[in-house]
Amino acid sequence: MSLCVDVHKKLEIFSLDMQTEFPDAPTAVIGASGSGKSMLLRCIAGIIIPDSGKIVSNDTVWYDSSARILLAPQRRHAGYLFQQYALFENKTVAANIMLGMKGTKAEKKQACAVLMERFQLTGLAGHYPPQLSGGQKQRTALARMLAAKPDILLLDEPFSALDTYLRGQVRQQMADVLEQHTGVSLLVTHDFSEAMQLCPNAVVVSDGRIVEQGSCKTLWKQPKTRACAELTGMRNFFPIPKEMRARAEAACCLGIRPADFRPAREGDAVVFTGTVKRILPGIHADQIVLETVQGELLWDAAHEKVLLPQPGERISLSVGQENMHILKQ
Amino acid sequence: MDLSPFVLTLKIALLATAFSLVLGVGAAWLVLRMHRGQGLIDGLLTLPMVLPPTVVGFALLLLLGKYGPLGAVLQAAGISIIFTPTAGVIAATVVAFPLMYRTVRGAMEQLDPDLMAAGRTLGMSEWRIFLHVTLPGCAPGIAAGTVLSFARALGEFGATVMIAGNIPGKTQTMSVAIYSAVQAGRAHYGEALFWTVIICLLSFAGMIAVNLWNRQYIRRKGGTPR
Repeated sequence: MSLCVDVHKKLEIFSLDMQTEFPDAPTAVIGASGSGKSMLLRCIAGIIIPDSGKIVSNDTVWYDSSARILLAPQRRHAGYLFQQYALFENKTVAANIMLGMKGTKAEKKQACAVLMERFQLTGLAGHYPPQLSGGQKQRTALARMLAAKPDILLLDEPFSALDTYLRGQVRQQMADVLEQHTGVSLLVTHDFSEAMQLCPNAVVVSDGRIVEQGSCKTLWKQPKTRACAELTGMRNFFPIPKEMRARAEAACCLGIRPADFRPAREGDAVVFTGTVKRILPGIHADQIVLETVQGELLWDAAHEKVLLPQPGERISLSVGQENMHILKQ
Repeated sequence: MDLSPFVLTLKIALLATAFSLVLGVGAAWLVLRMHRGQGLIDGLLTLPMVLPPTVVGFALLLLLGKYGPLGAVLQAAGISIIFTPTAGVIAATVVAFPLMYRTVRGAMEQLDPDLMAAGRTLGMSEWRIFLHVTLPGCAPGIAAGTVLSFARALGEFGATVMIAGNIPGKTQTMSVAIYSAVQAGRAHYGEALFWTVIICLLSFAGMIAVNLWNRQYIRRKGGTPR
Protein backbone atom coordinates (compact mmCIF):
# COMPACT_ATOMS: atom_id res chain seq x y z
CA MET A 1 0.00 0.00 0.00
CA SER A 2 1.25 3.45 -0.83
CA LEU A 3 -0.01 6.86 -1.73
CA CYS A 4 0.94 8.55 -5.01
CA VAL A 5 0.32 12.25 -5.07
CA ASP A 6 0.66 14.68 -7.94
CA VAL A 7 -1.22 17.86 -7.23
CA HIS A 8 -1.22 21.33 -8.72
CA LYS A 9 -3.25 24.19 -7.44
CA LYS A 10 -2.94 27.93 -7.85
CA LEU A 11 -3.40 29.69 -4.54
CA GLU A 12 -3.47 33.33 -3.66
CA ILE A 13 0.13 33.69 -2.48
CA PHE A 14 1.89 30.76 -4.10
CA SER A 15 1.05 27.74 -6.18
CA LEU A 16 1.07 24.17 -5.01
CA ASP A 17 3.10 21.83 -7.20
CA MET A 18 3.85 18.57 -5.49
CA GLN A 19 4.62 15.18 -6.84
CA THR A 20 5.72 12.32 -4.66
CA GLU A 21 4.98 8.85 -3.38
CA PHE A 22 4.47 8.11 0.29
CA PRO A 23 5.48 4.65 1.51
CA ASP A 24 3.61 2.48 3.94
CA ALA A 25 5.11 4.15 7.01
CA PRO A 26 4.85 7.40 8.93
CA THR A 27 6.19 10.31 6.90
CA ALA A 28 6.66 13.78 8.26
CA VAL A 29 5.75 16.73 6.06
CA ILE A 30 8.03 19.51 7.25
CA GLY A 31 7.84 23.10 6.19
CA ALA A 32 7.65 26.65 7.46
CA SER A 33 4.19 28.04 8.10
CA GLY A 34 2.48 28.98 4.87
CA SER A 35 4.62 26.66 2.78
CA GLY A 36 1.63 24.60 1.66
CA LYS A 37 1.99 21.52 3.82
CA SER A 38 -1.54 21.67 5.21
CA MET A 39 -2.82 22.27 1.68
CA LEU A 40 -1.20 19.02 0.59
CA LEU A 41 -3.04 17.16 3.35
CA ARG A 42 -6.31 18.83 2.49
CA CYS A 43 -5.92 17.86 -1.15
CA ILE A 44 -5.28 14.26 -0.16
CA ALA A 45 -8.29 14.16 2.17
CA GLY A 46 -10.49 15.70 -0.52
CA ILE A 47 -11.38 18.74 1.53
CA ILE A 48 -10.05 20.96 -1.20
CA ILE A 49 -9.87 20.05 -4.85
CA PRO A 50 -6.63 20.64 -6.78
CA ASP A 51 -6.69 22.34 -10.18
CA SER A 52 -5.07 19.36 -11.80
CA GLY A 53 -3.13 16.22 -11.03
CA LYS A 54 -3.69 12.74 -9.74
CA ILE A 55 -4.00 11.05 -6.36
CA VAL A 56 -3.84 7.27 -6.17
CA SER A 57 -4.03 5.31 -2.96
CA ASN A 58 -3.35 1.61 -3.02
CA ASP A 59 -4.44 1.27 -6.68
CA THR A 60 -7.64 3.22 -6.06
CA VAL A 61 -7.82 6.48 -7.97
CA TRP A 62 -9.03 9.21 -5.65
CA TYR A 63 -8.55 12.06 -8.02
CA ASP A 64 -7.56 12.30 -11.65
CA SER A 65 -8.12 15.58 -13.43
CA SER A 66 -7.54 14.13 -16.92
CA ALA A 67 -9.98 11.23 -16.37
CA ARG A 68 -12.37 13.55 -14.48
CA ILE A 69 -12.39 11.32 -11.43
CA LEU A 70 -13.09 12.86 -8.05
CA LEU A 71 -13.81 10.60 -5.11
CA ALA A 72 -15.77 12.20 -2.27
CA PRO A 73 -13.87 12.54 1.03
CA GLN A 74 -16.36 10.10 2.54
CA ARG A 75 -15.13 7.35 0.24
CA ARG A 76 -11.42 7.93 0.71
CA HIS A 77 -11.25 6.59 4.26
CA ALA A 78 -8.60 9.11 5.16
CA GLY A 79 -8.57 10.05 8.82
CA TYR A 80 -7.82 13.73 9.38
CA LEU A 81 -6.73 15.27 12.64
CA PHE A 82 -7.43 18.99 12.50
CA GLN A 83 -5.12 21.57 13.98
CA GLN A 84 -7.93 23.00 16.13
CA TYR A 85 -9.50 19.51 16.46
CA ALA A 86 -12.85 20.51 14.87
CA LEU A 87 -14.82 18.63 17.53
CA PHE A 88 -18.60 18.84 17.33
CA GLU A 89 -19.38 21.13 20.25
CA ASN A 90 -23.00 20.15 20.66
CA LYS A 91 -22.13 16.46 21.04
CA THR A 92 -20.63 14.71 24.03
CA VAL A 93 -17.21 13.09 23.86
CA ALA A 94 -18.83 9.68 23.35
CA ALA A 95 -21.19 10.99 20.66
CA ASN A 96 -18.29 12.68 18.87
CA ILE A 97 -16.43 9.40 18.76
CA MET A 98 -19.45 7.37 17.64
CA LEU A 99 -20.53 9.65 14.77
CA GLY A 100 -18.03 8.20 12.31
CA MET A 101 -18.65 4.56 13.24
CA LYS A 102 -20.51 1.98 11.24
CA GLY A 103 -22.57 -0.89 12.67
CA THR A 104 -25.32 -1.46 15.22
CA LYS A 105 -25.78 0.69 18.29
CA ALA A 106 -24.37 -1.99 20.58
CA GLU A 107 -21.30 -2.45 18.40
CA LYS A 108 -20.71 1.29 18.33
CA LYS A 109 -21.01 1.57 22.09
CA GLN A 110 -18.61 -1.30 22.55
CA ALA A 111 -16.02 0.12 20.14
CA CYS A 112 -16.42 3.56 21.68
CA ALA A 113 -15.78 2.19 25.16
CA VAL A 114 -12.58 0.55 23.94
CA LEU A 115 -11.35 3.76 22.32
CA MET A 116 -12.23 5.87 25.36
CA GLU A 117 -10.33 3.45 27.55
CA ARG A 118 -7.31 3.62 25.24
CA PHE A 119 -7.28 7.42 25.26
CA GLN A 120 -8.14 7.90 28.95
CA LEU A 121 -11.50 9.43 28.16
CA THR A 122 -13.79 7.01 29.99
CA GLY A 123 -14.59 9.44 32.78
CA LEU A 124 -15.32 12.20 30.29
CA ALA A 125 -17.84 10.34 28.12
CA GLY A 126 -20.68 12.74 28.94
CA HIS A 127 -18.66 15.96 28.74
CA TYR A 128 -19.02 18.48 25.94
CA PRO A 129 -15.90 19.67 24.09
CA PRO A 130 -15.91 23.20 25.59
CA GLN A 131 -15.56 21.57 29.02
CA LEU A 132 -12.37 19.74 28.02
CA SER A 133 -8.75 20.77 28.40
CA GLY A 134 -6.46 21.00 25.35
CA GLY A 135 -5.01 17.56 25.89
CA GLN A 136 -8.42 15.99 26.39
CA LYS A 137 -9.71 17.61 23.22
CA GLN A 138 -6.71 16.30 21.35
CA ARG A 139 -7.31 12.75 22.62
CA THR A 140 -11.00 12.96 21.76
CA ALA A 141 -10.12 14.07 18.23
CA LEU A 142 -7.65 11.19 17.91
CA ALA A 143 -10.20 8.67 19.15
CA ARG A 144 -12.85 10.08 16.83
CA MET A 145 -10.50 9.84 13.88
CA LEU A 146 -9.58 6.23 14.63
CA ALA A 147 -13.23 5.30 15.26
CA ALA A 148 -13.93 5.61 11.53
CA LYS A 149 -11.20 3.02 10.88
CA PRO A 150 -9.21 5.08 8.37
CA ASP A 151 -6.83 3.50 5.86
CA ILE A 152 -4.46 6.44 5.97
CA LEU A 153 -3.83 9.00 8.69
CA LEU A 154 -3.43 12.71 8.01
CA LEU A 155 -2.26 14.62 11.06
CA ASP A 156 -2.20 18.38 10.66
CA GLU A 157 0.15 19.95 13.21
CA PRO A 158 -1.30 17.83 16.00
CA PHE A 159 0.68 19.52 18.76
CA SER A 160 0.51 23.16 17.76
CA ALA A 161 -2.34 24.04 20.14
CA LEU A 162 -0.76 22.45 23.22
CA ASP A 163 1.70 23.78 25.76
CA THR A 164 5.14 22.23 26.12
CA TYR A 165 4.34 19.87 28.97
CA LEU A 166 1.24 18.43 27.30
CA ARG A 167 3.09 18.16 24.03
CA GLY A 168 5.46 15.63 25.55
CA GLN A 169 2.59 13.51 26.82
CA VAL A 170 0.60 13.61 23.62
CA ARG A 171 3.69 12.81 21.59
CA GLN A 172 3.96 9.46 23.36
CA GLN A 173 0.35 8.77 22.54
CA MET A 174 0.91 9.78 18.94
CA ALA A 175 3.93 7.50 18.64
CA ASP A 176 1.66 4.70 19.85
CA VAL A 177 -1.04 5.54 17.29
CA LEU A 178 1.47 5.69 14.44
CA GLU A 179 3.04 2.42 15.50
CA GLN A 180 -0.28 0.59 15.53
CA HIS A 181 -1.40 1.96 12.19
CA THR A 182 -0.55 -0.11 9.17
CA GLY A 183 -0.56 2.04 6.09
CA VAL A 184 0.38 5.51 5.05
CA SER A 185 0.41 8.21 7.71
CA LEU A 186 1.44 11.81 7.19
CA LEU A 187 2.35 14.14 10.00
CA VAL A 188 2.51 17.82 9.18
CA THR A 189 4.85 19.78 11.40
CA HIS A 190 7.32 22.63 11.41
CA ASP A 191 9.32 21.12 14.24
CA PHE A 192 12.09 18.86 13.03
CA SER A 193 12.68 17.17 16.39
CA GLU A 194 9.01 16.22 16.45
CA ALA A 195 9.31 14.73 12.98
CA MET A 196 12.42 12.82 13.94
CA GLN A 197 10.78 11.35 17.06
CA LEU A 198 7.71 10.13 15.26
CA CYS A 199 8.60 9.41 11.64
CA PRO A 200 11.48 7.58 9.98
CA ASN A 201 11.04 9.57 6.76
CA ALA A 202 10.23 13.10 5.86
CA VAL A 203 9.51 15.37 2.95
CA VAL A 204 10.55 19.00 3.12
CA VAL A 205 8.12 21.52 1.70
CA SER A 206 8.97 25.05 0.68
CA ASP A 207 6.88 27.53 -1.33
CA GLY A 208 4.40 24.88 -2.37
CA ARG A 209 7.04 22.46 -3.63
CA ILE A 210 8.69 19.38 -2.23
CA VAL A 211 12.35 20.32 -2.15
CA GLU A 212 13.80 17.31 -0.40
CA GLN A 213 12.79 13.84 0.65
CA GLY A 214 14.50 11.10 2.59
CA SER A 215 15.08 9.64 6.01
CA CYS A 216 15.00 12.16 8.84
CA LYS A 217 18.58 11.28 9.78
CA THR A 218 19.92 11.94 6.30
CA LEU A 219 18.00 15.17 6.05
CA TRP A 220 19.59 16.29 9.27
CA LYS A 221 23.10 15.13 8.46
CA GLN A 222 23.22 16.15 4.82
CA PRO A 223 20.65 18.76 3.97
CA LYS A 224 20.89 19.72 0.31
CA THR A 225 18.73 22.80 0.26
CA ARG A 226 18.63 25.93 2.33
CA ALA A 227 14.95 25.34 3.19
CA CYS A 228 15.74 21.93 4.62
CA ALA A 229 18.78 23.25 6.47
CA GLU A 230 16.74 26.03 8.06
CA LEU A 231 14.05 23.62 9.17
CA THR A 232 16.59 21.30 10.74
CA GLY A 233 17.96 24.11 12.88
CA MET A 234 20.80 25.48 10.81
CA ARG A 235 21.22 29.17 11.54
CA ASN A 236 24.45 30.26 9.84
CA PHE A 237 24.54 30.84 6.11
CA PHE A 238 27.50 32.36 4.33
CA PRO A 239 28.43 33.02 0.73
CA ILE A 240 30.56 30.19 -0.62
CA PRO A 241 34.29 30.90 -0.06
CA LYS A 242 36.43 31.24 -3.20
CA GLU A 243 38.45 28.09 -2.62
CA MET A 244 35.27 25.96 -2.45
CA ARG A 245 33.51 27.39 -5.49
CA ALA A 246 35.00 24.83 -7.89
CA ARG A 247 33.03 21.94 -6.40
CA ALA A 248 29.93 23.90 -5.71
CA GLU A 249 28.25 24.95 -8.91
CA ALA A 250 24.60 25.89 -8.67
CA ALA A 251 25.03 26.20 -4.94
CA CYS A 252 23.72 29.22 -3.09
CA CYS A 253 25.42 29.22 0.26
CA LEU A 254 27.45 27.52 2.88
CA GLY A 255 25.50 26.38 5.92
CA ILE A 256 26.89 25.65 9.36
CA ARG A 257 24.99 24.49 12.44
CA PRO A 258 25.52 26.64 15.54
CA ALA A 259 26.69 23.60 17.49
CA ASP A 260 29.33 22.59 14.96
CA PHE A 261 31.73 25.49 15.53
CA ARG A 262 34.85 25.02 17.59
CA PRO A 263 37.68 27.36 18.51
CA ALA A 264 40.05 27.71 15.56
CA ARG A 265 43.31 25.82 15.58
CA GLU A 266 46.58 26.25 13.72
CA GLY A 267 46.21 25.18 10.06
CA ASP A 268 42.43 25.51 9.76
CA ALA A 269 41.42 26.41 6.21
CA VAL A 270 38.24 28.27 7.07
CA VAL A 271 38.35 30.62 10.02
CA PHE A 272 35.73 33.05 11.25
CA THR A 273 37.11 35.82 13.41
CA GLY A 274 34.98 38.33 15.22
CA THR A 275 33.90 40.07 18.39
CA VAL A 276 31.49 38.51 20.87
CA LYS A 277 28.41 40.69 20.72
CA ARG A 278 25.99 38.93 23.03
CA ILE A 279 25.79 35.75 25.10
CA LEU A 280 22.43 34.06 25.71
CA PRO A 281 22.83 31.53 28.52
CA GLY A 282 21.40 28.04 28.09
CA ILE A 283 21.20 24.85 30.11
CA HIS A 284 23.75 22.79 28.22
CA ALA A 285 25.15 25.38 25.89
CA ASP A 286 25.30 29.15 25.71
CA GLN A 287 24.35 30.84 22.50
CA ILE A 288 27.03 33.25 21.43
CA VAL A 289 26.50 35.94 18.82
CA LEU A 290 29.69 36.82 17.04
CA GLU A 291 30.13 39.89 14.86
CA THR A 292 32.36 38.90 11.94
CA VAL A 293 33.27 40.41 8.58
CA GLN A 294 31.06 37.79 6.93
CA GLY A 295 28.13 38.90 9.07
CA GLU A 296 26.57 37.81 12.34
CA LEU A 297 27.35 34.27 13.42
CA LEU A 298 25.62 32.04 15.96
CA TRP A 299 27.59 29.59 18.02
CA ASP A 300 26.13 27.13 20.50
CA ALA A 301 29.07 26.72 22.85
CA ALA A 302 28.64 23.56 24.94
CA HIS A 303 29.52 24.21 28.57
CA GLU A 304 31.66 21.12 29.10
CA LYS A 305 33.61 21.48 25.86
CA VAL A 306 34.97 25.00 25.77
CA LEU A 307 36.00 27.84 27.98
CA LEU A 308 33.31 30.44 27.46
CA PRO A 309 34.42 33.84 26.13
CA GLN A 310 33.36 37.22 27.55
CA PRO A 311 31.33 39.83 25.65
CA GLY A 312 33.62 42.08 23.64
CA GLU A 313 36.32 39.43 23.41
CA ARG A 314 37.82 38.71 20.00
CA ILE A 315 37.78 35.04 19.09
CA SER A 316 38.35 32.82 16.08
CA LEU A 317 36.15 29.86 15.24
CA SER A 318 36.46 27.10 12.72
CA VAL A 319 34.45 24.16 11.62
CA GLY A 320 35.29 20.65 10.40
CA GLN A 321 35.06 19.94 6.69
CA GLU A 322 32.26 17.42 7.29
CA ASN A 323 30.16 20.05 9.05
CA MET A 324 30.22 22.53 6.20
CA HIS A 325 27.10 22.07 4.12
CA ILE A 326 26.97 23.37 0.59
CA LEU A 327 23.34 24.22 -0.03
CA LYS A 328 21.18 24.85 -3.03
CA GLN A 329 18.44 27.46 -3.00
CA MET B 1 -65.95 41.37 21.35
CA ASP B 2 -64.92 39.13 18.46
CA LEU B 3 -61.63 37.40 19.27
CA SER B 4 -61.28 35.72 15.88
CA PRO B 5 -58.49 38.12 14.67
CA PHE B 6 -56.35 36.93 17.57
CA VAL B 7 -56.83 33.24 16.80
CA LEU B 8 -56.40 33.77 13.07
CA THR B 9 -53.27 35.90 13.45
CA LEU B 10 -51.69 33.37 15.78
CA LYS B 11 -52.47 30.53 13.40
CA ILE B 12 -51.13 32.44 10.39
CA ALA B 13 -48.00 33.55 12.23
CA LEU B 14 -47.21 30.09 13.55
CA LEU B 15 -47.76 28.40 10.20
CA ALA B 16 -45.82 31.09 8.34
CA THR B 17 -42.95 30.75 10.83
CA ALA B 18 -42.92 26.99 10.43
CA PHE B 19 -42.85 27.27 6.63
CA SER B 20 -40.15 29.96 6.72
CA LEU B 21 -38.11 27.79 9.06
CA VAL B 22 -38.07 24.82 6.72
CA LEU B 23 -37.71 26.88 3.54
CA GLY B 24 -35.23 29.37 5.02
CA VAL B 25 -32.88 26.73 6.45
CA GLY B 26 -33.10 24.68 3.27
CA ALA B 27 -32.51 27.69 1.03
CA ALA B 28 -29.55 28.88 3.11
CA TRP B 29 -27.96 25.45 2.93
CA LEU B 30 -28.53 25.11 -0.80
CA VAL B 31 -27.39 28.63 -1.70
CA LEU B 32 -24.15 28.21 0.25
CA ARG B 33 -23.41 25.04 -1.68
CA MET B 34 -23.89 26.75 -5.03
CA HIS B 35 -20.76 27.34 -7.07
CA ARG B 36 -22.29 29.81 -9.47
CA GLY B 37 -25.05 32.41 -9.41
CA GLN B 38 -25.09 32.71 -5.63
CA GLY B 39 -25.48 36.47 -5.78
CA LEU B 40 -28.45 36.34 -8.12
CA ILE B 41 -30.39 33.75 -6.13
CA ASP B 42 -29.50 35.52 -2.91
CA GLY B 43 -30.89 38.76 -4.29
CA LEU B 44 -34.11 37.12 -5.43
CA LEU B 45 -34.66 35.43 -2.07
CA THR B 46 -34.04 38.63 -0.13
CA LEU B 47 -36.20 40.80 -2.38
CA PRO B 48 -39.47 40.40 -0.39
CA MET B 49 -37.69 41.90 2.61
CA VAL B 50 -36.73 45.14 0.90
CA LEU B 51 -39.78 45.64 -1.32
CA PRO B 52 -42.84 47.46 0.01
CA PRO B 53 -45.33 44.84 1.25
CA THR B 54 -47.93 46.17 -1.15
CA VAL B 55 -45.61 45.36 -4.04
CA VAL B 56 -45.18 41.83 -2.72
CA GLY B 57 -48.94 41.58 -2.28
CA PHE B 58 -49.60 42.80 -5.79
CA ALA B 59 -47.07 40.36 -7.24
CA LEU B 60 -48.71 37.53 -5.32
CA LEU B 61 -52.09 38.67 -6.56
CA LEU B 62 -50.84 38.55 -10.13
CA LEU B 63 -49.39 35.10 -9.55
CA LEU B 64 -52.22 33.52 -7.56
CA GLY B 65 -55.21 35.46 -8.89
CA LYS B 66 -57.83 33.85 -11.10
CA TYR B 67 -55.90 34.75 -14.24
CA GLY B 68 -52.40 34.35 -12.84
CA PRO B 69 -50.20 31.47 -14.01
CA LEU B 70 -50.44 29.58 -10.72
CA GLY B 71 -53.95 30.75 -9.91
CA ALA B 72 -55.29 29.45 -13.24
CA VAL B 73 -53.89 26.00 -12.53
CA LEU B 74 -55.38 25.98 -9.06
CA GLN B 75 -58.66 27.31 -10.42
CA ALA B 76 -58.79 24.38 -12.81
CA ALA B 77 -58.33 22.07 -9.84
CA GLY B 78 -61.18 23.82 -8.08
CA ILE B 79 -59.04 25.66 -5.56
CA SER B 80 -59.30 29.38 -5.02
CA ILE B 81 -56.76 30.95 -2.72
CA ILE B 82 -57.33 34.68 -2.94
CA PHE B 83 -59.29 36.10 0.01
CA THR B 84 -58.92 32.99 2.14
CA PRO B 85 -56.88 32.46 5.33
CA THR B 86 -54.49 30.38 3.18
CA ALA B 87 -53.64 33.55 1.28
CA GLY B 88 -52.83 35.13 4.64
CA VAL B 89 -50.40 32.34 5.40
CA ILE B 90 -48.78 32.68 1.98
CA ALA B 91 -48.41 36.44 2.34
CA ALA B 92 -46.94 36.15 5.82
CA THR B 93 -44.57 33.37 4.74
CA VAL B 94 -43.26 35.33 1.77
CA VAL B 95 -42.42 38.39 3.83
CA ALA B 96 -41.09 36.43 6.84
CA PHE B 97 -38.97 34.02 4.83
CA PRO B 98 -36.12 36.41 3.92
CA LEU B 99 -35.53 37.22 7.59
CA MET B 100 -35.13 33.53 8.38
CA TYR B 101 -33.03 32.89 5.30
CA ARG B 102 -30.69 35.82 5.96
CA THR B 103 -30.17 35.03 9.63
CA VAL B 104 -29.62 31.31 9.12
CA ARG B 105 -27.33 31.92 6.19
CA GLY B 106 -25.23 34.27 8.29
CA ALA B 107 -24.99 31.65 11.04
CA MET B 108 -24.02 28.97 8.54
CA GLU B 109 -21.31 31.17 7.06
CA GLN B 110 -19.89 31.72 10.54
CA LEU B 111 -19.62 27.98 11.13
CA ASP B 112 -16.06 26.64 10.97
CA PRO B 113 -15.78 24.87 7.59
CA ASP B 114 -13.41 22.39 9.23
CA LEU B 115 -16.40 20.96 11.11
CA MET B 116 -18.04 19.94 7.86
CA ALA B 117 -14.72 18.71 6.53
CA ALA B 118 -14.27 16.63 9.69
CA GLY B 119 -17.67 15.06 9.15
CA ARG B 120 -16.74 14.19 5.58
CA THR B 121 -13.41 12.61 6.47
CA LEU B 122 -15.28 10.60 9.11
CA GLY B 123 -17.44 9.17 6.33
CA MET B 124 -20.65 10.90 7.39
CA SER B 125 -23.13 11.47 4.55
CA GLU B 126 -23.91 15.07 3.57
CA TRP B 127 -27.38 14.66 5.06
CA ARG B 128 -26.04 13.42 8.39
CA ILE B 129 -23.53 16.26 8.45
CA PHE B 130 -26.39 18.70 7.88
CA LEU B 131 -28.41 17.08 10.66
CA HIS B 132 -25.68 16.54 13.26
CA VAL B 133 -23.19 19.31 12.53
CA THR B 134 -24.61 22.17 10.49
CA LEU B 135 -28.05 22.39 12.07
CA PRO B 136 -26.95 22.27 15.74
CA GLY B 137 -24.00 24.49 14.91
CA CYS B 138 -26.26 27.32 13.80
CA ALA B 139 -29.03 26.70 16.32
CA PRO B 140 -28.72 30.19 17.88
CA GLY B 141 -29.01 31.69 14.39
CA ILE B 142 -32.06 29.58 13.66
CA ALA B 143 -33.61 30.68 16.94
CA ALA B 144 -32.97 34.33 16.14
CA GLY B 145 -34.40 33.85 12.66
CA THR B 146 -37.49 32.24 14.15
CA VAL B 147 -38.17 35.19 16.45
CA LEU B 148 -37.71 37.70 13.65
CA SER B 149 -39.90 35.73 11.27
CA PHE B 150 -42.59 35.22 13.88
CA ALA B 151 -42.66 38.89 14.77
CA ARG B 152 -42.73 39.86 11.11
CA ALA B 153 -45.53 37.40 10.33
CA LEU B 154 -47.49 38.58 13.34
CA GLY B 155 -47.41 42.17 12.16
CA GLU B 156 -47.82 41.53 8.44
CA PHE B 157 -50.27 43.99 6.93
CA GLY B 158 -49.60 45.17 3.40
CA ALA B 159 -49.36 41.93 1.48
CA THR B 160 -52.05 40.31 3.61
CA VAL B 161 -54.60 42.99 2.95
CA MET B 162 -53.88 42.75 -0.78
CA ILE B 163 -54.42 39.00 -1.18
CA ALA B 164 -56.29 37.83 1.92
CA GLY B 165 -58.46 40.90 2.22
CA ASN B 166 -60.24 42.20 5.27
CA ILE B 167 -63.18 39.89 5.83
CA PRO B 168 -64.17 40.05 9.51
CA GLY B 169 -64.33 36.60 11.08
CA LYS B 170 -62.63 35.02 8.05
CA THR B 171 -59.44 36.75 6.96
CA GLN B 172 -59.21 39.74 9.27
CA THR B 173 -55.96 39.55 11.24
CA MET B 174 -55.06 41.74 14.21
CA SER B 175 -53.02 44.27 12.24
CA VAL B 176 -55.82 44.55 9.69
CA ALA B 177 -58.34 44.84 12.51
CA ILE B 178 -56.39 47.78 13.93
CA TYR B 179 -56.49 49.51 10.56
CA SER B 180 -60.23 48.86 10.22
CA ALA B 181 -60.90 50.12 13.72
CA VAL B 182 -58.99 53.33 13.13
CA GLN B 183 -60.73 53.82 9.81
CA ALA B 184 -64.07 53.44 11.59
CA GLY B 185 -63.37 56.56 13.66
CA ARG B 186 -62.48 57.63 17.18
CA ALA B 187 -65.21 55.56 18.76
CA HIS B 188 -63.32 52.41 17.77
CA TYR B 189 -59.88 53.51 19.01
CA GLY B 190 -60.27 51.32 22.08
CA GLU B 191 -60.50 48.27 19.87
CA ALA B 192 -57.37 49.31 17.97
CA LEU B 193 -55.54 49.85 21.23
CA PHE B 194 -56.61 46.42 22.48
CA TRP B 195 -55.11 44.66 19.43
CA THR B 196 -52.00 46.83 19.62
CA VAL B 197 -51.38 45.72 23.19
CA ILE B 198 -51.96 42.08 22.27
CA ILE B 199 -49.48 42.24 19.37
CA CYS B 200 -46.88 43.92 21.57
CA LEU B 201 -47.29 41.28 24.27
CA LEU B 202 -47.07 38.39 21.81
CA SER B 203 -43.93 39.71 20.09
CA PHE B 204 -42.35 40.46 23.44
CA ALA B 205 -43.15 36.98 24.75
CA GLY B 206 -41.58 35.39 21.70
CA MET B 207 -38.44 37.46 22.15
CA ILE B 208 -38.16 36.56 25.85
CA ALA B 209 -38.72 32.87 25.15
CA VAL B 210 -35.87 32.75 22.66
CA ASN B 211 -33.55 34.71 24.94
CA LEU B 212 -34.23 32.22 27.73
CA TRP B 213 -33.60 29.33 25.39
CA ASN B 214 -30.36 30.93 24.22
CA ARG B 215 -29.13 31.27 27.80
CA GLN B 216 -29.95 27.65 28.42
CA TYR B 217 -28.17 26.67 25.22
CA ILE B 218 -24.98 28.54 26.09
CA ARG B 219 -24.99 27.15 29.63
CA ARG B 220 -25.37 23.62 28.32
CA LYS B 221 -22.42 24.15 26.04
CA GLY B 222 -20.30 24.95 29.05
CA GLY B 223 -19.99 28.70 28.54
CA THR B 224 -21.28 31.59 30.59
CA PRO B 225 -24.20 33.56 29.23
CA ARG B 226 -23.44 37.19 28.54
